[in-house]
Amino acid sequence: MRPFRLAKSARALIRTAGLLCTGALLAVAAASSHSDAQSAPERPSAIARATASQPVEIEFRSAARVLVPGDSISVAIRLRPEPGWHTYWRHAGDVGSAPAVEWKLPSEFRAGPLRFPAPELIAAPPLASYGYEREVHLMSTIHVPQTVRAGSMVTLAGNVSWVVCREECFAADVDLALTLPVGAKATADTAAARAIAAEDARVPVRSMDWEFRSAVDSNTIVLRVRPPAAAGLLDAVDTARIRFFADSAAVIEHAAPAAVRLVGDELEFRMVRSQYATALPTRLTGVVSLTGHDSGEDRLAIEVDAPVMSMAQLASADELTGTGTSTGSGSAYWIGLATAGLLALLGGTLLNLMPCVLPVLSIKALGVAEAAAQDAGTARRHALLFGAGVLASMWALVGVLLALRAAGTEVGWGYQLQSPAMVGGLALLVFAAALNMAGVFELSPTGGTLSVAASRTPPASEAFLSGVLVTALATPCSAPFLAAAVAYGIAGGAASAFVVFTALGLGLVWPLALVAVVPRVRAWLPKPGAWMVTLRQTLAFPLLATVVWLAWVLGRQAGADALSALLAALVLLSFGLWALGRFGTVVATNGQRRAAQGVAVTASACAIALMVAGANLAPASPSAGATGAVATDGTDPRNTPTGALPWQPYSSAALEALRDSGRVVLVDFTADWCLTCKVNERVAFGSDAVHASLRDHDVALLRADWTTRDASITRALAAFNRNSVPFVVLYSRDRNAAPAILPTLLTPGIVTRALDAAAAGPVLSAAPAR
Amino acid sequence: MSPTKRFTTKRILLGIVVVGVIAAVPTALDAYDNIFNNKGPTPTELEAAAPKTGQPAPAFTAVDTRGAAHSLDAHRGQWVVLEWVNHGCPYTKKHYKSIDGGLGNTQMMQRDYAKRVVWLSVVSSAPGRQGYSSAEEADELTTEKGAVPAGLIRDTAGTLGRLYGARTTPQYAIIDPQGVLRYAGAVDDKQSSSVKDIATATNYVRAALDAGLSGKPIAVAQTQPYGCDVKY
Repeated sequence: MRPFRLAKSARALIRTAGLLCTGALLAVAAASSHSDAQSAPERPSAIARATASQPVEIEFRSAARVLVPGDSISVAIRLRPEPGWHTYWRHAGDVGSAPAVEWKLPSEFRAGPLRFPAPELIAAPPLASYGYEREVHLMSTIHVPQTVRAGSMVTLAGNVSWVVCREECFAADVDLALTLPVGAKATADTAAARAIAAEDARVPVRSMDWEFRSAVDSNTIVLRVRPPAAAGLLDAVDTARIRFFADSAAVIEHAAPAAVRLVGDELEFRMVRSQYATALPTRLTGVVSLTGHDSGEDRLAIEVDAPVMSMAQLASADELTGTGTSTGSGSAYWIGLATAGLLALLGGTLLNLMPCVLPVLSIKALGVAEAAAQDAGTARRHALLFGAGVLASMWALVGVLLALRAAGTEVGWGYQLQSPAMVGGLALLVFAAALNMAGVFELSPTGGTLSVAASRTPPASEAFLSGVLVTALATPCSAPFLAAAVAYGIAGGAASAFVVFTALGLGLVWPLALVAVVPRVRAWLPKPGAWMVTLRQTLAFPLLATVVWLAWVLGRQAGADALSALLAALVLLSFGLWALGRFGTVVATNGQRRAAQGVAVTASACAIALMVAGANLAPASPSAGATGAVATDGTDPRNTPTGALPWQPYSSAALEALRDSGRVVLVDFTADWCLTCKVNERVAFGSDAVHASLRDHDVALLRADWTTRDASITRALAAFNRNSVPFVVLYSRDRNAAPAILPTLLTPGIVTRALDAAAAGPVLSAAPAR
Repeated sequence: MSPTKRFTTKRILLGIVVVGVIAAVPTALDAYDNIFNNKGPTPTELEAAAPKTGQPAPAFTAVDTRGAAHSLDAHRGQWVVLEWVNHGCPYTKKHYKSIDGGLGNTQMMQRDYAKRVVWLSVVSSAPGRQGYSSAEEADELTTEKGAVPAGLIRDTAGTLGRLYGARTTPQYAIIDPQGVLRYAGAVDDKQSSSVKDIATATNYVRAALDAGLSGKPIAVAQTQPYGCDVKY
């Protein structure tokens, strides 16, 4: 099949050869080739027209009209499909294949590889291809040898094979040839040169200024692209039209949309690995295409060659670089950060209502309201100092967190509760606050930090310290509520962590500030009176309940001995504080007061020392601690409340082994200090329906216990872009399917539905219809 | 109005606000999840994932154009080759086209392994789409090309194709005598439409059958197929 329209092909040759000094000569050559072609159809011309059976026009074009010995020229294969049809890129994707040329050049002529401009995604769900619906030029550089004689005619020939598809595909190959004179002086074919130059501008460029890295796990492949620092490119880019085109098979699912986002100053593509992937790739190659906001023509395509690492390696690399170098750019980054900030503000506001914060803060608010009624200016300053205390402790908290991560320690949000000594210290602090509210003692004879009975405004330092106290009290609660925003803040590096935690602090502070500043709000609050003493003392009990919870956490972390040490420390502390309350008052003599203060300080110091010593009694490392016991004797005491679910301790090896066995695997990332986790375990994993479903689907259960610090669990969370709990993930039987991430708050219904979905495998028997 | 009474009213109002905010908490949590749970894409929109090599091949019973029933159970003890074809597709054509005046690549494979494997060609084209034909037309095409499959299955509903995750024509699935899927994927390693490339390509199907039939492990058991999409 040689579908040439010969008259047209001759015209095209003449047009190509056209108006140069050797034009006449060339016209003769073309005419002779024309007449030859008539007698012998296999003699190739420069163009093959589209026909009914072959819906693409193919033509050789040269940017130069004269070949100069020793020069290199660009020759292009122009493919012009009929409307609705498309041709393919150098990697075609799921269907189709790339055009190819087999050059037949005179001796010593050399042709370079074809240069393909960046393609478009051609979706044909459930598959997708990479190609061109437009007219496209595929360029090759042809080197003209020195030896070729000026004045001679040279024929550049080649066999071009291609596939063109709409719904159906057509494939063909054709011999094309282009005959050019050899001369001393280069002459450009303006139209062809312009078309080729325009197309060359669309060919992806290789640049050393761009940095690429990539990470894989069993289902996902992540590509990170860092543009040159000064480029500011990402601001001008239409984020909806960012694409990655892989240039080899069995790497990604071309049809699955990539999740594109900004991580610091890098573009991240999160893609589904090909279901045909076998071994882990060592490099990820392809092309990233960026399109400007304004027009489709303003497009930049960059060749990608990224080393592939594991997700854990990528996460730890992020930790190292994320802290100091994150200078986010691009509107998406700012939108993401602004959203995270807003949510942190909302989360901080909600923190005011948490059982560990509400008692202290409500009393504080009433105190400020009372003070403001007498002296608005002082009350405002007081609220401001309180806010400063909250913010300063928030910044200290995040500063320590980032410093620990920069130092290579695998920690995440909630880290402050992973140390038994910290939990114990917090228990002592909350206990002291409870005793204060219950009226056992006043911190200063003239009205303590938490005093509402104070007739005078408390001193500035106390306002600041009460802010610190509120932050300390808020931390156990903040993890479940702020998980996502906090994770975002930390992952984004120092700047975004600062923004998120500041927003969190402001959220915690603004209700009180409102009380201090706006008289109308104060009018809404109940008038101070004797009832406030009752309320204040009543609110001591939620705080005591918090102490019980913290004591339980400490017991789980460090054992019964440490728990006993903490309880003894609480007794010691209460003795000291009682002494302060009994003998340290204004009515006592100076000597009594000093003695009482001495006793209180000594008792508190002893209590802290006792608690710390106790906390260090039992090893806090997870390998030898509570989880170690689970691993060795196989009975996790935590199972008792939720029934006898066969939890196994998490390790990546255990997970891989279970997944290899073809079972559905549920991994519960949890920690004893995480209240939401505990609620999930009671409500969701404790229900009979979930038990039955777990049994029916033969679900393997892994528990990743993050109660004490555990680098492997931190890494596992990081692979999901998380660093907080609760986090429950469900792997289906299918090794290639992406794991399902369950919501933060679980109900039995959510869990059973997810289990049903994960267990539903491919149908194992089918009789094709005839 | 006494302070006590005033306190009661305010307290009720405050209580309502608190309850409202607490009720809003799950919503807020959902908002976090939606915005920040970067779950990435999931392959759920894709066709059912292909069965894995090394695992039992999905069982099926199908009747060929001549009325003979084929099922994996009935062929237990024999190697079974499933070959997806679409005679309008240039990639199927490439592998059926005569090479140097002789037989095409596929016909040669069918002949070379005829005695040792059950070769089933499968057409999963839906009615009205490219590759669909009546049983008689399909048989004529088979004869015309000199193809000798043990049977040609007209999978007009696409059931068998979807069961095996067939995406393209050509595409192969090779099942051992124990019913285990041993190879799935492309015919060879040259994603092209040109017959000339067959000579220099690595033929995965031959490699898998040669290794499998002589009891050796199959080196390349899974590849991404290339060709036209299956016309479900």
